[in-house]
Amino acid sequence: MSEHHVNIPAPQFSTYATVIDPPKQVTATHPDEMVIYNIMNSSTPVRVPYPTSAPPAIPPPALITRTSEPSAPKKMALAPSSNRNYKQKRTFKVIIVGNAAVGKTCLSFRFCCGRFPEHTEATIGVDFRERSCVIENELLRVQLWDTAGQERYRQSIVAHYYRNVNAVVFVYDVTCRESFNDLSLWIKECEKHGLVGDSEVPRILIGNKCDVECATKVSTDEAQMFADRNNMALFETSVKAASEADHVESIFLTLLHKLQQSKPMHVQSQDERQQKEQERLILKANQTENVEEEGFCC
Amino acid sequence: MDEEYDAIVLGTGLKECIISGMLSVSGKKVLHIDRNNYYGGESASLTPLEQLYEKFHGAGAKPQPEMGRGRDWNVDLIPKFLMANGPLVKLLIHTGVTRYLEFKSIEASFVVKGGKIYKVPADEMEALATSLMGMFEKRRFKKFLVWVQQFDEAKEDTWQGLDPHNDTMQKVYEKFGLDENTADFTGHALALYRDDEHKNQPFAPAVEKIRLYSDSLARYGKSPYLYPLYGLGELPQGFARLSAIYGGTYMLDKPVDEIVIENGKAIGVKCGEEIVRGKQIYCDPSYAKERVKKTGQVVRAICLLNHPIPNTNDAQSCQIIIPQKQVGRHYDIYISCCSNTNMVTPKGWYLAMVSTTVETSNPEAEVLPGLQLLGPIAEKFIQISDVYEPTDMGAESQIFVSRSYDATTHFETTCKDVLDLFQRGTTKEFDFTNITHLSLNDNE
Repeated sequence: MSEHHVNIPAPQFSTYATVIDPPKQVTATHPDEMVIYNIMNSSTPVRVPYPTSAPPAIPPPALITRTSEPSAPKKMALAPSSNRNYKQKRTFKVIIVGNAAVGKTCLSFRFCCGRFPEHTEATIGVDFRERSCVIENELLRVQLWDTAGQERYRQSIVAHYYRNVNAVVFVYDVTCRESFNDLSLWIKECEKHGLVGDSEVPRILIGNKCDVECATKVSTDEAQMFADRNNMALFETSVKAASEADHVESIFLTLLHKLQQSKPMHVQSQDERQQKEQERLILKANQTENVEEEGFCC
Repeated sequence: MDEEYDAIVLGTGLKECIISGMLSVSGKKVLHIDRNNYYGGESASLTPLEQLYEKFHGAGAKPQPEMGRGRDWNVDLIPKFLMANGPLVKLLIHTGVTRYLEFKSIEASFVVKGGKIYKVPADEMEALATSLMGMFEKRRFKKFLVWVQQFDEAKEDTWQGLDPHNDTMQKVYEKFGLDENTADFTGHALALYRDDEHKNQPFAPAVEKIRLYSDSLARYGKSPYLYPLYGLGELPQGFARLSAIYGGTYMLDKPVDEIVIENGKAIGVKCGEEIVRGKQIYCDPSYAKERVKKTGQVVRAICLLNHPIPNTNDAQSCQIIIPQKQVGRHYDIYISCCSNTNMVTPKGWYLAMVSTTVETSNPEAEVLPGLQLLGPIAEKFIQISDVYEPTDMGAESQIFVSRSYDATTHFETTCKDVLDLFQRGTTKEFDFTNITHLSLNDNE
């Protein structure tokens, strides 16, 4: 039988930690692995490292956090310590949407790096920013995804941007009425991709640049009414002003707590998961209808 | 849009998106335009289902209500799978585009012999149990596979008396005493040749292809193929994002009137009244019709089924190959099938695609042997596409046109074309070390 093995090497499934998250978080986060569903064990996702000539080391979570960044002036709340074992680790994908030039990139920078970026030209080579936090002995990794400028001409954002999303941050510029009016289009765009405003995917609304004086400012009342109608929490802030830094931080923590509570603590079984998915689909279908009946405002 | 771009890419098909990504990563300023309001061009996955109906049956055409929610459908226009160990998977991993996509293995691969569907053996047990070949033939076949695994063109002692430069594949089959059936199976279901041309060629490329098959099979399980959740249209979008995060500018739904030429060299593209300037143009054949020639046609039948394909053990996804000889043709017929498990249909629905290279004046009849294997078909869309290749290689004009997608079931030729385009356009090979976004660190 010695020659038998040639055609059939052993499957390589068990070589990397199995993901314990619910199915949403199985996007490959490391370049050298691909997420593959092992068809033999139904749909348990397994991460398979891809053998290359020089596999880069996988950085431990502590290295990914921004706490060690020399120029970061802000203390980062709930930062994880490197030498602890957490009872659970979860990764959340949060997307930021809104018109061009409302400050989406700066917002994600402020969230994750604790400061305003020194160079504001288009960011090159940044897919998403990540920040790790610990709540109740659980390591939470929040990935803030940027539009990569594909929002400049509408409809150009790729579909996968909206997939497996755990929260949506809508951003407008309080000094730019158009960016506020276009929010309803962004909500529509999200709904087209199945992101409706149910409690499963929290949505928050941020009015940026509130420190800038402007005669035609979008009023807080108006924004609040819009936020209420769309089941969102409204925050007005300035990502740039240093005085608002604590405010931005608290917005982030609000989001973090929403995320932390948005998922059950135990790992769902396959049946539970399917049933839940089914319920959600029905819910979504109903909600979509409602939204269409109402039309959109502004 | 007043600025000048280093490259303007027209069309967001897979090849154009990979090129766009590679150019942006290499520091080029890229503008990427598509006349459609969706990504993917020829290689798109249409969604919702209404979009497919409108494309084939005109505006206002509607699917039947029992077909479920339109948004649950993602219908590929071109059927292809990724070889798990093939060049596209390597490209996906090296560029980090895998972080946007999820893949599933295709469950099984089948081959038709004498009108019956046989599973292509995926492991030792199946190889011993298969009725595809007789007892003694199996032993000879195994010997052949062992030789394939250890063959190295650079080492003469692995050749076992066969000369890769002169001896044909036919001679290899004869040396191992393989009968015509096995040769047929090997050449078409493992090496994935579409015709019998390879039998009369030196054998080294064929041996490489068989090895790619078995290496891919070894990688993830029961078949050598991978397929992205939500359809192949995810692939161009993944590379489009790669391009965008390296500064590429994206415009969909933008009609392009013509490529503007000055002194025999492209200087930009005309969109309505405005001209966007660019030093180079990369595009698919539909944007440069006068610089390509037609080399053939491919017929593809998209079939909506409300059941798995019969005799496939209820496979949720599979490939079936009908070797040309079995149906008296010159080219093989391919069937691919995906379903809810791949996120391309609602529960209970299946998408089967039958395709082949056109060789008669009645292409629709040519896919019939494939359609007959599918059982009842709820809806069928036939498309016949012309296959083009560039006549202008772009050295003078700086217009670089990709080839149309051929009838092969995987992306090997696609990757070859892309790397060729990149090399022609930049006179350099692509440098993967330019990719920095994988480190998770901001560059600031």
